Amino acid sequence: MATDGFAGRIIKVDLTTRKVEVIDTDPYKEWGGGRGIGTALFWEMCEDKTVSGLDPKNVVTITPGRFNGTPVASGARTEVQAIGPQVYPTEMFTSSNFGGRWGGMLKLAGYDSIAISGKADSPVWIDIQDDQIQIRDASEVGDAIWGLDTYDTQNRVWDLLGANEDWRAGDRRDSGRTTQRSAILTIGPAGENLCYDACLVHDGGAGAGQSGFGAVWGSKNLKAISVIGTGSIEIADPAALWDTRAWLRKEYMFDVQNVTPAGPAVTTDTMAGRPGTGQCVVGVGRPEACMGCHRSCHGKRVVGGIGNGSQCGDSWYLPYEKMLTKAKSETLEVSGRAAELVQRLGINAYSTACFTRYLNELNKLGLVGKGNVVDTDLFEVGPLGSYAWAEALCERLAYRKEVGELLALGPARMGEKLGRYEEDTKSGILLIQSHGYMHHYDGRTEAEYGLSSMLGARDLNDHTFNYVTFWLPTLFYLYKMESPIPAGKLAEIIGSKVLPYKDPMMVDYSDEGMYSESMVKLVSWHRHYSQFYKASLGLCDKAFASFIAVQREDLAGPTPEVEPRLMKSVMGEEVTFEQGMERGERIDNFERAILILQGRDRDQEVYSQYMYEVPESLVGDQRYPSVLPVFENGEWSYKNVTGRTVDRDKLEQWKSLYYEFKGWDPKTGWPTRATLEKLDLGFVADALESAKKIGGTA
Amino acid sequence: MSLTGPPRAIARDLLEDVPDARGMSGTVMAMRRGAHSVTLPSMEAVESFLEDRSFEEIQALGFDVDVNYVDLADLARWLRETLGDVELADEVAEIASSGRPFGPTAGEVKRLLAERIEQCHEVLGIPTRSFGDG
Repeated sequence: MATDGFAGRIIKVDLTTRKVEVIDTDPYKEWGGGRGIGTALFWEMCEDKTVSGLDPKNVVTITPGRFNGTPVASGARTEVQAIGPQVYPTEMFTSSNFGGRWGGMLKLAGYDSIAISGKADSPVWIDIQDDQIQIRDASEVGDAIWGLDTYDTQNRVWDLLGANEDWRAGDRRDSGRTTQRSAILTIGPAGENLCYDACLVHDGGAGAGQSGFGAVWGSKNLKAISVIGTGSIEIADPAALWDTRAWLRKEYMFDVQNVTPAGPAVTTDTMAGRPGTGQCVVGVGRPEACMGCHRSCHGKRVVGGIGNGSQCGDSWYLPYEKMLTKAKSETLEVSGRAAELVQRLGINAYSTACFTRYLNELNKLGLVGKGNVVDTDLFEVGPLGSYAWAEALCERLAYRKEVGELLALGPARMGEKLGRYEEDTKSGILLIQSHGYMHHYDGRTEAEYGLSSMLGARDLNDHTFNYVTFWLPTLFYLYKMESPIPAGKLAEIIGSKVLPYKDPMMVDYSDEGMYSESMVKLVSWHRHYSQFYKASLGLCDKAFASFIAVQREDLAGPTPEVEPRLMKSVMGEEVTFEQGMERGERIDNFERAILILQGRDRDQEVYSQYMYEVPESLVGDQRYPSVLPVFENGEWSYKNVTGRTVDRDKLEQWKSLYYEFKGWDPKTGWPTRATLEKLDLGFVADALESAKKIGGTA
Repeated sequence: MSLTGPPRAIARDLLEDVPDARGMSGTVMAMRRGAHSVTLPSMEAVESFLEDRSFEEIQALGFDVDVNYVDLADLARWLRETLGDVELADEVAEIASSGRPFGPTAGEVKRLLAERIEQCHEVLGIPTRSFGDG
């Protein structure tokens, strides 16, 4: 085994022929791991990249980030990639990402990725125990897990493997021993019933939520992948890795005896600020961590025996219950139960929140009811905010009952089916920012969040800048307290760390700044960092990049020093931070080429109409503070920029700047041959040229 | 700060839910999942929604933090125009226009609303404040 953080092998499964092939990782190592490898596998294996997400020709890859299975802290993320049915209007190649134990366990079993093609003729699951890989019968006459919810599926598989009794990997004497149960990634009823927002769930809720990959698995008759590994991952320099961890602890970690009083936002830094609560978002929980991580930010709640619990999905129903309840304890109870509901049924919690919001707005317009535009008695089951309402919504969605047939299309296609998509994305009651996804953060204020999403194939959901540029000043604004980091200092620190650009103006979120050349650099940096350091190496969004460390005199976090140290100790390569960013740019172009083959061009990279016409709000005139750093009249300050719209003409001009900066044809947004060849992507240029989709001039 | 009791004639109205379209808008601002809107149908719902938390308590939540936000000037308008409670609206408007930050004043407004709700209960002979069943 090489000592570079790779396990050395990749599994390919053709479900149509039920053939399992194990190949060498070597030809794929250049992609780094995670998303890079998954993109390369998809490129090779998916011959017709224009098929729908539910077509058997679609290929789904599940690839742990490179740092999985090693002692790198906050480095246990795993990528899922395929053509995603959630992407709208054209289903396109996209991704989702999850933590927990699954990725690490796959590495310990000896594999760097699993790529699945074809469609089984009856329900199956995949059982990986070190070198043994079996495609097993998931149907009632077999192991009887098809039809179960995600928690019952996991418990049933553990029973089948004997893990619930003797805590070891099967009965083979030479199989090795472990105290761990297998790590299982599974779909629930929503995936089996091909709901476009079905997700993959692992343990209590460490799921790949966005993009509809649960439906992709369901379309392939694939219920679950269980993996248990008893091996280990060799890294280049274990002593150096421990030195790096010790260095981080000494220089950047919070001191539990003397926690630095600072804004909550900075607690999300990898080591700095304050310790996390380690609780569930709602309800009482016990801290749990992803494999190898010290942060323990997952909460294990009420779910018996299933750890690594919910995160964002834990609170999808919380806002609605707050509309109804008068006692917080009840709020926590109902929201917690609603969280378990979506996890068990395998529904993307964020889409469910989008559905709930949209249905509520349509109901206010008098369009929901028996025989009405949205033909349902959902609002007669119980008031919105009650558990009965949440249960009815989720059950109907997952099993395609009653209004569930409509909901199963996902929010965007639901709007289209109702003949209301244009009208409702113009008013903003259907809150789809771009490509069929509800935004996590609003591009009218947090420009890089919206732009990075618009230029990809999903809501990017990457908080690299959000924690420090939005949350830190916004929370201090709400309490009118002086920020521990003045806006100019924040810009100076971030500017010094965003290599290779080193431009403090990148975090100028003023009306002018959001269309500037510096914003071009910010979005490029955001996407490239995300593509390589997070999605390919597996670094966690809650910890990286780490710009700020409030307990230090210089206030500066460990990025960009920490990333090369981690790479060197695990991978054995002297990779500078900038070279890592170049790898991110290469993956970004590779991924974009697939989108282009699927029909992407400049005209598709737009926001929904409300972004241009409705001042930033959630509904109507509802406002909340959005405080960000701005450079105006020659000085830095924090400013509440709420209520802003996107200027369409300025955005189009900005897009031209961005495409040119990236070496893409500004007329089409397609990369040029020169750009692709510079990134050693000549074979990608050949494919685009064959399809007559190569960029003309940069 | 103390409110005079509400006339019996409007006490029940102050405790009633209003139709969704006339509800008070609020926002749950959550670090992990962004901002989400809520429509609060009653004074009791607004009181329950507002939180009396210090900055230290917010800090302790780390990135589990969420903030239940209501524009206090809008709330004063809503109390005046939708519920017809002029006295309470004036008190909230004064706080809203004081220039003080949302965080600490949210607690003050919450206590004002709670006081009004208790007064309504007293006027109507409701013995204890009942919490909804969720």
